[in-house]
Amino acid sequence: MNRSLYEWIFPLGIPLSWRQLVQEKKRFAAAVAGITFAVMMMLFQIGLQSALFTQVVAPIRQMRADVVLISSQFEYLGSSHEFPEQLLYSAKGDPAVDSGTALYLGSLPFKNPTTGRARDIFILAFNPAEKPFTNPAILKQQDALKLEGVVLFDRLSRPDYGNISQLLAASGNGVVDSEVADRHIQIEGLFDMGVTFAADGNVLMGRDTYLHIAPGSRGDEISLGLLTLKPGYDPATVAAALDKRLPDDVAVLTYTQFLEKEKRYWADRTPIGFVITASMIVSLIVGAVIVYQILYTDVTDHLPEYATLKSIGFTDGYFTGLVLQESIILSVCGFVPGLGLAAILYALTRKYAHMPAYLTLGNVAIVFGMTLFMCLLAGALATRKLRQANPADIF
Amino acid sequence: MATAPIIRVRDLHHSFAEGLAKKEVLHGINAEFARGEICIIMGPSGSGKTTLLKLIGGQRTIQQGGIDVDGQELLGASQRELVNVRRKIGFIFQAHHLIEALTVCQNVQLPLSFDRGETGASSRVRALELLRRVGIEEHADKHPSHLSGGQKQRVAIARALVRHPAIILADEPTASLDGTTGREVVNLIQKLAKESGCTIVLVTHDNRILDIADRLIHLVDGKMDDSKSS
Repeated sequence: MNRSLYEWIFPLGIPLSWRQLVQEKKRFAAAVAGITFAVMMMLFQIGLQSALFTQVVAPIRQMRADVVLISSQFEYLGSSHEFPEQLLYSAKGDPAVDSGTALYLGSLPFKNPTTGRARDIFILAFNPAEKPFTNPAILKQQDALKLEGVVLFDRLSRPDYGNISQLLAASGNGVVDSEVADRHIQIEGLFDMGVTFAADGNVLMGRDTYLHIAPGSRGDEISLGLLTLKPGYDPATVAAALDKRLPDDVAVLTYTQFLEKEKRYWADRTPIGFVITASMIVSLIVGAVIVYQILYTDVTDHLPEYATLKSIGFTDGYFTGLVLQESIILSVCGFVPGLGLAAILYALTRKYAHMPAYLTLGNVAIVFGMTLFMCLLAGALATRKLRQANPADIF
Repeated sequence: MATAPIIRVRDLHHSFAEGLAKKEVLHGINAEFARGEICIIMGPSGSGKTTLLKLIGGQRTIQQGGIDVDGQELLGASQRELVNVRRKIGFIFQAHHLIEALTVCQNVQLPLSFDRGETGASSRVRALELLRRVGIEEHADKHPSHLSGGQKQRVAIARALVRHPAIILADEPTASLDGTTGREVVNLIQKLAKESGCTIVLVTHDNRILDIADRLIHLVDGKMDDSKSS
């Protein structure tokens, strides 16, 4: 056999599938544009969904913990409820536990230093002598929080709180004065964390500052207990053992379970998670229908030609192959520009919505798989008529 | 006839659904076609002659009666068997039915993909040879839309003949052509068929081309009119 690969794919080297697609350039362009749009829409929605679930756990992603203690009434970070600090000490007594530290979480009004208007911001407070966060910017600056009244501000907070980074740069001493819960505070540094649906901004402060300014807060009531384990201990086993041993006021989760719990809250318990998941599914279906329409029309338009070929001895398998090739060509031609447009939309989303939308290999693979699958299905449905019919009936 | 006929039609009936009613267009046709003969089936439109041709070509399912094409019974034949019969036949359509997306040469090459040994290069050589014989070699790399009606029909003839079929079925090959061009096309079919010794069954209502036939069959209202058939 001296046949090249090209001739294996296209019998006698005649690329009929390609020729038929590009025969009418305008229609081919319209078909590719339709698939491009569908791909862009699918990628954008799936990207938003991924971004949402990355975003809601942004603060958790920066926490240093193998096992997490939460109140049994914990719903999500913004509604964490408190439990006695005593239980954290009790957990720290476990031989598997290396270190344990407390986080105090709450929402308090933060005054925009420029406009003077106050808005709730998410507060994360901790003992600055310990290291509950992995973010290097926090580790570097957290000593400043030992001084009461000093806070760090999340640069990714929404602009409604004021352009703090610019104010910091403009101030001579590197300090911006403002108020949290009507108490004077000093912003002495910035870090990057990211906003969640529970909060439009984040502020870090020392435990003492928090207890001083947060009404009703008590030092012996904490929101989260972050435990790290000694090497060689399995978080799942330790968490299960602690959960059994400690009273029912607290639940003990592994770090991974804690992440999942937070995601699940937004996915299952709130309209936001539902809406974005539903709109992703809708866009997948709409995209699929567009692709189907395009391919079905193309095959239908060429049906008389296919019937001719069938009359002179071409088999059904030949047409299946032909439509398969058209499907793949259309999928690829539409996918590449769709990917480019989605990348632009992602960049805009990052810039204006402050959501961590990125192209991930997994999402790209899912959307390409969907596109290809729909193209193939549409092609199979479109050729069904040809397979069933006598060639003479189609003329 | 000394040799066995290549096509044998036995008591063939065929009807089409017309709303709830059924309209029978063929009422018991019996006919035999010998190897190498040129037979013209005459008849007014609606006489069922095209239906008969498409039944012989394996393009319609036989309802009642039988057709034997070169040893293959078409009644109840499998898809695979039907495909094999279609590949033995060169079919020339009333409206040429070329693939617009392909060049003239590629249109003629297409049926050669049934032959395992053919490559792109070897099939092009064979297609060009046929195009030369039908006199339009210089248009080989044009698309069919750039050709005249007569030229398109010549391409269709080349496509039907490229695999040297034993049987040519032609469905009103002159219907869309003017008198002179039609004459040329029919002469061409006759010449090429005589050269390769294949059987031709040609359906027409064009009286001007009857002289090429060895034999005439008249079909009237779905029946063979034996009084006129020679």
